[in-house]
Amino acid sequence: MRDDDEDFARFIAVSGARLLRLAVLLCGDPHAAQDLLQDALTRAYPRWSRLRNGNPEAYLRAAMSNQVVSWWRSPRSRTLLVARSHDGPAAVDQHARADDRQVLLAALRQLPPRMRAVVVLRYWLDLSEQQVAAELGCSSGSVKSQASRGLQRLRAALGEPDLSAVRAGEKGAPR
Amino acid sequence: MNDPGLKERLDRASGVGQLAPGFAEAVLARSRRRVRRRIMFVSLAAVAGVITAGTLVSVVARNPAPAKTGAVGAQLAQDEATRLDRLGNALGRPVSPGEIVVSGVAGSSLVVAVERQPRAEESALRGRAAQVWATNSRGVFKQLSDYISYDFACTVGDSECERLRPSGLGFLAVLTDASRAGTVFVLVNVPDGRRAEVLTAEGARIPVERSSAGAVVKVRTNRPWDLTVAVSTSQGRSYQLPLPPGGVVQVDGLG
Repeated sequence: MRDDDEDFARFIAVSGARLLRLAVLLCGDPHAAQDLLQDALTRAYPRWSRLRNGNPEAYLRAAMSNQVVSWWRSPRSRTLLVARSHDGPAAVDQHARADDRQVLLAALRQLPPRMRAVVVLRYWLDLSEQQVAAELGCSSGSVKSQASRGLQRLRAALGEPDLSAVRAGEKGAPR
Repeated sequence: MNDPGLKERLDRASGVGQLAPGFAEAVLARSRRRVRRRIMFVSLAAVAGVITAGTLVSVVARNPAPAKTGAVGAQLAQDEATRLDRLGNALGRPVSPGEIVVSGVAGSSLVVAVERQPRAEESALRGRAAQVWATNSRGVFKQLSDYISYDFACTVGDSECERLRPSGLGFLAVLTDASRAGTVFVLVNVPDGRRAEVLTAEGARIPVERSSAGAVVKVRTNRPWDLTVAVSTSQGRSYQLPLPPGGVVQVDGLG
């Protein structure tokens, strides 16, 4: 057990920051992200002797993605999330990047959690449709449509034009 | 915004991944506490008997079964008391039958949801909470979940649920087991006089035959997070019993 504990702690030291960044995007909220990651790690701990020989990061990604969906399905969480998104404007930061961060997180929060997870895994982690489908336990077709709709909704939330139709090679795209 | 542009923005939005001070230590401490509870009671394996479905419900009924007569009845009563004792040992405190929210069989395990102290903010709004335990192959209780809310939330727009919440809505949790892909066990209990039905994303409707200790219903579905439970009252009204945060519990081996 002692070796496992040390190994587990090492894993958190090495991968914790990366997993926390994913959690921030999955929640759209840096504060909830700490809870999400801690919860997922606590659940993974009893399985660590098996997980350590596989791909623990993939396991934790899937666990966090599914946990966010589970949170969302409780109306209490939905109410809390809605309340948070209706909070007053984020404190204006002198740095434009901080504003941009708040804007994007707010836009992400407007996506349903499953769609948000697909967008993050596809466009931030560059996982393939098949990889995302395997991690989220859904079909590649579902990932494809969720990713496409998620991108459109994100752009709409950010007030940006939907460029997907003008990318070369897109079916039905105007030339 | 093209994809590379989105990736960069997501990269910035994700922050620097600064874990809170003491994060790893807190995770390890919390994880060890959960595991320690299981390890402590391995020693009870020598005393544990095989749990049989026929006596499960009466062990954990909210309203204890009427006194049984004769030698068999006395033995059953003794078995029930032993199992409650073992559950109490697992929890670290005595357990009375009235604290059992749900009890039933999932696979070859006895699964029990036991009342626990809710968080202050939930208690203030008359919310309640439970923990979920199950026996392992040696009949020793192990914890599956340490906190599941109930009687606390309603689906947005469900006015009937809001109206009935002060008098209690019911308990709902789902157990998934990787070794049983496509099959889940739904733990559900609703107040007396109401009927419940489990609805799956695949379109199945499974009526819940509950006792005073609720029910554990085996359900075929590939989407446990999309399960809903429809509850109807004796007045012909209905509401949806919401799945709480952490309400889908992934379990290793229910046997």
